[in-house]
Amino acid sequence: MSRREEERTRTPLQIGGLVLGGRLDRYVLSLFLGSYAVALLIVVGLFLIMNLARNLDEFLQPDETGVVPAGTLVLEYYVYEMPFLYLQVAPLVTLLAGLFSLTKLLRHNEVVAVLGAGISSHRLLLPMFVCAGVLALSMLGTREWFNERIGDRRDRLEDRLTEHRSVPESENLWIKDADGHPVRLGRWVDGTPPTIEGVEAWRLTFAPEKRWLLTEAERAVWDPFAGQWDLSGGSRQDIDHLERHPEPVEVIPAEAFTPGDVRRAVKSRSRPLDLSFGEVRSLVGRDPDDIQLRTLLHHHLTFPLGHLVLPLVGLPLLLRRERARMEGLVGGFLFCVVYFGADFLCRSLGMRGVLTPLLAAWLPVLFFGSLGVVLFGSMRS
Amino acid sequence: MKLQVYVMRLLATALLFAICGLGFLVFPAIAINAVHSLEGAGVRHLLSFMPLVAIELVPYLLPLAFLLAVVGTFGRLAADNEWTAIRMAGVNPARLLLPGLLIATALSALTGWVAHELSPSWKFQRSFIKRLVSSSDMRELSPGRTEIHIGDFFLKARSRPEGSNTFYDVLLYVSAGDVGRRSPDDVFRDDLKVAADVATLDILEDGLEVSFVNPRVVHGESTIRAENPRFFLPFDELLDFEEKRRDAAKYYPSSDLEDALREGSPPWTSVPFDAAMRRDCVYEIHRRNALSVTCVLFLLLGFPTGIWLKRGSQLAAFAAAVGYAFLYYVLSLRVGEELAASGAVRPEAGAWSVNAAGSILGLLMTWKVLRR
Repeated sequence: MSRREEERTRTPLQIGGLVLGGRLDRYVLSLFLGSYAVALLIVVGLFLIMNLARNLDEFLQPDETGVVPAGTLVLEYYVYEMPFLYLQVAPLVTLLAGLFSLTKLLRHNEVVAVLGAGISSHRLLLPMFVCAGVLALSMLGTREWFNERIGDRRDRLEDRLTEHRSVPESENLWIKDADGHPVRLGRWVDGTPPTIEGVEAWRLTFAPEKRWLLTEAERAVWDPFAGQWDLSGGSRQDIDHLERHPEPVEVIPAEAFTPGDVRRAVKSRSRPLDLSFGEVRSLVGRDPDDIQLRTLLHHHLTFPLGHLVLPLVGLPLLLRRERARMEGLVGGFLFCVVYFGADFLCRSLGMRGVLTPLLAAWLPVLFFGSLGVVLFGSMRS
Repeated sequence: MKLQVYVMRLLATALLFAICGLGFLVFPAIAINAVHSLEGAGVRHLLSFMPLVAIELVPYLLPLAFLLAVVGTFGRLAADNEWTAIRMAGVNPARLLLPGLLIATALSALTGWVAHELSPSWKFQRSFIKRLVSSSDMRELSPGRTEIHIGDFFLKARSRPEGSNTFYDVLLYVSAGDVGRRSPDDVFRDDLKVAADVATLDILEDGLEVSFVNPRVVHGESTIRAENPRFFLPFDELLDFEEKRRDAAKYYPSSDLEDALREGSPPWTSVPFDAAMRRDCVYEIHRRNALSVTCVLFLLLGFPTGIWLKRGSQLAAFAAAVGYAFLYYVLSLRVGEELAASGAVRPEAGAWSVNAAGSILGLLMTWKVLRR
């Protein structure tokens, strides 16, 4: 048999009695994608309206020189902010898209027709769940990609519009060096080059005896070519023997901390939920005892699973109420509210040390996911 | 009359659904925003912060819900051919606008009350929440944490037993500024830097009392070893956040602004108005008035849009409503304020400019539909 004949006789992959990627799958997928596009526009649009209503007034205040930021700057900020707005509500968009698609199928009695043809409702909804799974998997990568490409620019624009200054600054900032020891930055100016005024690095050592070492400098300027901080007035000494001559220190190497580490620390104080997985992991590496960061780390893994959990519960609820679709839709929305409520309650408890980070992040997903599996399994087939 | 009651019932049902639907959409958004803003604060603070955010959105979301209801209702009438039947029966189609006008008036009154009296003070109160959260964090000292950084206060320890406020191998750093300290031994006005084998924190009503074992107090170029000193750190001074000043018209209810305009000086100072301040106050009052009557504008825009869309589907109505609302709010926030601030037009004209332009457009669209 020739290769062509072989291919013709090969049985296409079937699931639930239907060819995978066949006409019904393509139809349901096109419905879902169309609804997803509209739901995305609506939800992100709504968020944008809320954000504008709250912030535009503040953004358009003049800076210290009396100059009002240009409209193009505000527009640029929102262009960069939109992907991050989407990442905050992505599972909600997926649920809405699923609910709207299923509503359409129910309205035109297509679900009845499919069931009458002997195809289960699970099989009918398979393309939606495959899509949801792809979205869940891609969400991690999406967040990393956006943070890497546009995160810094977005943060700088936000700082410029809210604080009305040309470069981001922070005072009294505490970070961790590579060994987890605390470093105080009196004033951090993220200009070109990044500069620190008043550096104090504290280190507790136990060999040969227990002692506190303090490395301080009046000023530190980042040298990108050498990859180090050039210090002015730098010194190191044992605080139990401050009367002795301090040991002069001229540089702090990049191995201790870099401007990127400082920016991550600033972000972890002001917008911890916008940190990427890689950024959180880097921070946890320097401070493993920080329960807030550890909770966040787990949350970054579980939040994308909302793409699957929300439709797993919401769609069966709608399907059960096919004669009262309004009630089904309301039930789906209500569930979404309950899920998000439970998620932030658990996360909040985790960040405050009441729950362990692992439990705080995984409890809502496991509970509602299990509920979803049960509801999904009990759908009419 | 029967027809108008019917349309009124349809509109009211659609409005109720739109408000609930928007509420369900917006609630997670507000919660997410609150969690982002308050860096993982406790549930109690989040729940008290969320109404402060929500109230500011009511004057924007209520008209949006009404627009959605109008587009959806008249779209359904057109899709089901009821619109055609009504016109063929010789009924003046303009009469169908009366129920909408009635609901729009009621919503305008509610929106106006929120925008004029409630939202301004609540908006200002939001700035205090962060301080409240920090104060609460300080008072509760989350179990298990070996690092606490709040305001000027930084503490890092190597270990802390479960359920205890005792910290081992501790670095305590309190930045200088307005922090006043009392101790049996001395009073420091510089940064307080203490490295100690053990530190115990006692939470009092108005501050923290910190006692040390084997402390080394770094002061200038010397280290002072005191015999188990205790320091008292007042919360008020530790949590000395730069507070937002209430020196803008947007933070005052309209009744206060009107009184101020009569008396000749703004509510936040006894100095008489200058031209810019007076313009800001007048603009703010009229901006709130214009925002209040947005429902009527949205009726004029939503009615023809619904008829033209000829679809009862919620999705299409929602998309159209969000598009109109987005355009309106961006223009009213930007264009109106720019016009007023430039001095090219009176502040009242600046505040009403977008509403006026939108109303003309809406009237034109409505006239076209009614004329067909």
